[in-house]
Amino acid sequence: MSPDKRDVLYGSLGLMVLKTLEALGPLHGYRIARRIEQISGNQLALNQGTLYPALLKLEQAGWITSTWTESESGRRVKAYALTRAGRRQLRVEEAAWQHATGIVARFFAIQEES
Amino acid sequence: VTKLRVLLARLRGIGRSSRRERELRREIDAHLDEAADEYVRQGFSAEEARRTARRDFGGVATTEEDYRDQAGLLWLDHLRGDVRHAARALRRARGFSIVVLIVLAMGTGAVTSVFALLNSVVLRPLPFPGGDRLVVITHDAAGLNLQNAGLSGGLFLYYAKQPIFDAAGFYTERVLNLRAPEGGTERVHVTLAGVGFFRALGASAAEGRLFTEDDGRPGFLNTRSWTVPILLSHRFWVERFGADPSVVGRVLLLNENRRVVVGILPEWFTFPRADTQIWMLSEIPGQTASIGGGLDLNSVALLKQGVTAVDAQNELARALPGIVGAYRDATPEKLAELRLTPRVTPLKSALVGDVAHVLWTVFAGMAFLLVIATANAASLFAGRADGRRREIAVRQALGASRRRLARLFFTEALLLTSTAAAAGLLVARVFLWVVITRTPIELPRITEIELNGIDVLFAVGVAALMAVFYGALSVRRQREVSANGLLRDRWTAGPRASRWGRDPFVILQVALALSLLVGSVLMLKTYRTLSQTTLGFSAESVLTMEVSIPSRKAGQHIQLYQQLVDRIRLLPGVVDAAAASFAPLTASEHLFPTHAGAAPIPFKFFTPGYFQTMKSAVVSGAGLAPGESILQPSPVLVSAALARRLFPDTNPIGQPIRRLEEDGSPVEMTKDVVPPFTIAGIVENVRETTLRDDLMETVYIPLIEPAIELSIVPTNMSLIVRTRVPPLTVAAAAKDAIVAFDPTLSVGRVRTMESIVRSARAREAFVGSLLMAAALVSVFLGAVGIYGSVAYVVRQRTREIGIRLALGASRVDVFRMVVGGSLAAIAIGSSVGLLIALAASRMLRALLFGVEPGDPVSLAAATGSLLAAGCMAAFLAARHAVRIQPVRAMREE
Repeated sequence: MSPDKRDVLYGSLGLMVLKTLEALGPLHGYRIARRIEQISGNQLALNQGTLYPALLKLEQAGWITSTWTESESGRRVKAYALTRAGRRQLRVEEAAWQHATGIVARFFAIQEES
Repeated sequence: VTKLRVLLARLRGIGRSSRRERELRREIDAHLDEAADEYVRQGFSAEEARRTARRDFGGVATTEEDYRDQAGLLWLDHLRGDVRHAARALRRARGFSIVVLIVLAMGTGAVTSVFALLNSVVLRPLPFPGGDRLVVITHDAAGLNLQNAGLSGGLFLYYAKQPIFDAAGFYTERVLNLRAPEGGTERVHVTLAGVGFFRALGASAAEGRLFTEDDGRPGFLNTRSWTVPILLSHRFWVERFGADPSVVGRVLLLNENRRVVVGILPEWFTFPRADTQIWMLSEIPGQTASIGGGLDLNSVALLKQGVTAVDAQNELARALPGIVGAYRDATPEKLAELRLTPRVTPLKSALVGDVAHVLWTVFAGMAFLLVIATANAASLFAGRADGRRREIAVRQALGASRRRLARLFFTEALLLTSTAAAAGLLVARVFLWVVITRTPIELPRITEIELNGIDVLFAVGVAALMAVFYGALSVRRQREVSANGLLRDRWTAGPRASRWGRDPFVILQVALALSLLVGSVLMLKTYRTLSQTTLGFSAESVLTMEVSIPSRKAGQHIQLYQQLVDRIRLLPGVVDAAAASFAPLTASEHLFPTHAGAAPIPFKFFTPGYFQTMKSAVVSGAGLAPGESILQPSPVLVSAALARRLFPDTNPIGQPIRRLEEDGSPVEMTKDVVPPFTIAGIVENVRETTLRDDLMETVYIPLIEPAIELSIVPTNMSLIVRTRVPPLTVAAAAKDAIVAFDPTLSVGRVRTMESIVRSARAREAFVGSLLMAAALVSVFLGAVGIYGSVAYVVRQRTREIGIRLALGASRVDVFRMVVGGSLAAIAIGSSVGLLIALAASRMLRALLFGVEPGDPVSLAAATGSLLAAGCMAAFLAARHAVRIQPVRAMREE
């Protein structure tokens, strides 16, 4: 379980969480997991459990906050919400992601031409 | 920034594990329930829904583990586990743990104790804001044959003007009688000082104010119209006046003169001595100051930023000739006559003086002890590592990594050494408490002695170093073992290296123990020499007490002291009594320039009957017993050593001896030249200053008519009372008698002569007993170490010995084989130890007396006892080898 592998995974998962929270507002864990699966067109087989360490990490970084509330079905759940720092971070990561995918895309383009 | 925030959040997370786990549990449960609900809505049965939700979620345990990992700091959790584990392992090996703890606690305790003392007295900066910029100025006056003399008024004023100082102050000390309206008379330590003194030391008043420039100005000498201001020490203010703030402004009587309290100094300010009670304003009148006439002012100065003591000393030496013309006697001739060399010394080294050397010496001794203890416990650690071969092998087989094992060893060692360090700090506390309350030696800065953070850090550092050492040792040991083929080595004695592997530690222990032993034997010899020196008086059953008279009664000193002595003599239990200007060995001295030779000679006043009371032998001539009639005019007695030097060929009795003023002119009294003294008798040599004093030249001046000039009249004398009962039992009655005789007299420093003699060799006793204790402990540890190493060899080679015996080896052969290695180690260790001792005893040289650092008798005695102890330990351990039964030995295991 080497840390860098996990970081890569968490890195993109974190980005997805932030984006989900930005789009839909405060959500609890299960809803976040479901949203991510839905948005990815159920193509991403997410081990839902891995979400929780990722949420904790985002919270420790100060990008999201959590409060105990009630779900639609009346259960006590922890709802996560994006903070202002989280919004800023999302902008940064989004740009970085676009930049990175842009570069990779250009490489694919070269291959097609040759 | 984010990383830092995460780290902080994780640190916060360390303490809250149980709450966090609960919350996570609830969150996961809610998640699973929500998921199951959704599946039920999709038409799954409750049971199926639940199972599917769980499958989607993945491993709950893994999630918890990862979550925990993210929440706290993993290694810290591991550390906690390691500590728990190590503690458990150590509890199982109780014998090992206890012995190691005792040995290491002794080592760290000894070294931390002395370090704490060294730190408080020598290393820690002075409490003054000026710190290292504070210096004292002294003089060597080659013309007067004086070293480390003080300053005269003119010299001080001239130096204080030099631009290298930010501030400079002078001071002198007195013992005066204080009379407060509400109480009786008591003797107080008074320091006379000016404004610059407090400015240099950076003091500020705790109550009231300090002296100001204006204090001195309006008619300073005209005390009729103006009251001289004084300051009180914080302690004196609290103890004598109950910390009453209204003391400021009150008038007190010092030697029957009115003095007004203007302020209280803060608690930390205890300069020049811990028990200074009063500071009285004093200034040097510029117009009348001179550069000759008493180099008796002390000084303290604050160097300008960036100026070193050496710079200042050079600068003063360069500036000194410029003083010509500034004061009335400042002529080139005078300078040529005095031949002054200014000396600038940092205040701290001036204060601490040679105590630094004493403490460093003892510290070195204790450091040796620590190394010995460390080496001793190292054998125990090595033994334990060997004893755990199986356990370790099993652990490795079960997948424990080398790193994991190393961490275990290190944690175990750290647990032991830090416990030992904690015990050592406790020992240090007790030690400091003893030093402060019992004051085995006179220490400067005694009020500042305490255990502080640096000492704790020191102990922790020692513990950490030892832990690293033992951890590394155990790891190496274990590697050797595993390299040697773990579980299969059932036949051979184990790793080859371990046969002799422990001997380096034995060699080290023997070597250091021997050098400690040599040092302590040398100190013991010094102490014995000092105990056996002829004092020149009998100290048994003698009480001394200082009695001073107010200076306005100085004219009647002869009658006062004589009548007092006569009264004391009549008290029950008293055999005899007399008075002298100081008791022997109390480090007081009056110097007496004479026409005989360049060096001034110490002198001492006494009342008739003094030598009879002290039981000092009168060698020839008159002894000035009470009532003895003397033919010579102005008779004095001289010590035998002085008589021999001054009059080697003629009979000294009847010879004149003339006092001179410090500038060499004849002493005058009411315009007449005082006639010379006549030597009336010769007394045996008395050690007046120190036990090591071998000059013993003294002039004894009786307090009889005609009186000596008023300026040198003693107003503070020591009563010498010889008793037939234990001396201190007479003290109360004597005090009462003195007060009844004249209430303006005051009594101070009641001591027995025996305690004075004891404290005269207290330093040697202190160093000697500490070194001796350390030496005994280390010889014991060394012997135990040797025993252990032989016993180890026997245990490891029992089978081999059995075979040898079965094949016909004699028991003597076996014996030789078993102890051979250890005896070699002892021999090597002793030779190394002798070399170390020779080098280290140079450090002791300044403390030794009557014995040379390389004294062959001491070296032989120390080596002999160490060899005896070592060989005995080896033989005791080897007895087991000889008793081995071959058949049983081979059947074992």
